[in-house]
Amino acid sequence: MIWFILFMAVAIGLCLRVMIRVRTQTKEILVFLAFVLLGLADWITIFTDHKFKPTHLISMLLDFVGL
Amino acid sequence: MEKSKLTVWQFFVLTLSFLIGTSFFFTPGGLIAAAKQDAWIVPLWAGTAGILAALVWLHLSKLHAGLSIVQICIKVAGRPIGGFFALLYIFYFIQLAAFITRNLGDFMKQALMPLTPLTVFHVMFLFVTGYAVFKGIETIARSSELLFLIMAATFIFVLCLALLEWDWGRFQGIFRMDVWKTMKETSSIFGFPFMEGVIFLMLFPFVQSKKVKSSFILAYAVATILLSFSTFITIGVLGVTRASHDTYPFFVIVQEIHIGTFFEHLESTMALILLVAIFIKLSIAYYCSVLGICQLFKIKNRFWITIALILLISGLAMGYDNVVENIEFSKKYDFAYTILYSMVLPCLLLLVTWIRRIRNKRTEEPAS
Repeated sequence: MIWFILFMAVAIGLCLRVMIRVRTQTKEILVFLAFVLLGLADWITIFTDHKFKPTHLISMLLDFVGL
Repeated sequence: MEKSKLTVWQFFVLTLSFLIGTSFFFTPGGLIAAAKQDAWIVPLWAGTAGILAALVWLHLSKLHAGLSIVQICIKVAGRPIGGFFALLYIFYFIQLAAFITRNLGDFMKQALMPLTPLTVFHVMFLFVTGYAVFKGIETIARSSELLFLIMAATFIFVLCLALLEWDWGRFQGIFRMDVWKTMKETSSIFGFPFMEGVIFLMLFPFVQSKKVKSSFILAYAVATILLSFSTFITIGVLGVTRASHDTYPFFVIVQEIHIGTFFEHLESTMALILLVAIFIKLSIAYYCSVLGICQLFKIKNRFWITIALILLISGLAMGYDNVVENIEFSKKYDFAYTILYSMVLPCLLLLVTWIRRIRNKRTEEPAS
């Protein structure tokens, strides 16, 4: 997992550098970062064997509502 | 924002490919298990419900001409609540893209390359689709136009060969189903593929012609008939017992085609068709997610969002343990989950639009 995190850190760093160099909107950088970090968090849950299951969350919510 | 245009034919092809693309492959098995020899009737009523839902979406789109569902949410319900609804839609599109990606991975691993890790299929396919998404909806539509013809021709050819195994005796025991019970057991077909068509609320603004309504409804009608027809063929060729025990019955049909030593192993051709179908469907879901994010946050360039979503979608696609869990979720929850996005929220938005219009008329009348 450590290699994955290192790879992602380098990749995100490079992306940010390019984005700043081409003067991307701040809002765009923030949205990009938000989605990348969400994806990264999801992948970390996979590596740690505690998968985030969207379907599990959806089914729990639907059961809670009673549908 | 992108200023692309779609022709009526392109929109028809996109809609039809999205609806029929993967469902002719994944749905018949489950339907036949539940409804036996009468399974071919199920898509007919589900398709009718789909057409009714499509009329609601078209009406909503007509009331807010030129706006996508994300923009409609914000316009109708205001920035905070409408923004929340828009976010819900975006996550639905992302989840749909992840679901389609996982379908691809499951199929490839189970049927063709059992030793290759799932992630390899997911990431490779997402990169290709991501490129198409970055290029825009016109590129997706044009590639669909080309691929659709190849897909249809191959499908018809393979179908004709499969008919050699046809046996009318496999239909014995037809018309004995309990309609209400079958409807409940096969409720997932309302969600997948028919209600998923709500995603086209993102694409209506790109169609310039006024024939968008007839094109959309026609695509729904053709998809319904084709799905019913493919289920009918599956029953006639494989029989109820075999078809209901296979995850991909259509793949089994193709696997068994042998004409001399010349036509053999046509399953790889079928796998190719499925890959094309998944490409079109995933492109649409992925594109709508990216477009939704760009519209919600008013971002002009979608390149970075497309890149960011590859990581998220490939991660979410790993959120299923196996194909059984995937099927179980579809069976139990897909209908209720999809109905929220396809009927509840659009009807709510319609209601608020009507109330606002009536109120506006009343405030205008005393002034005049």
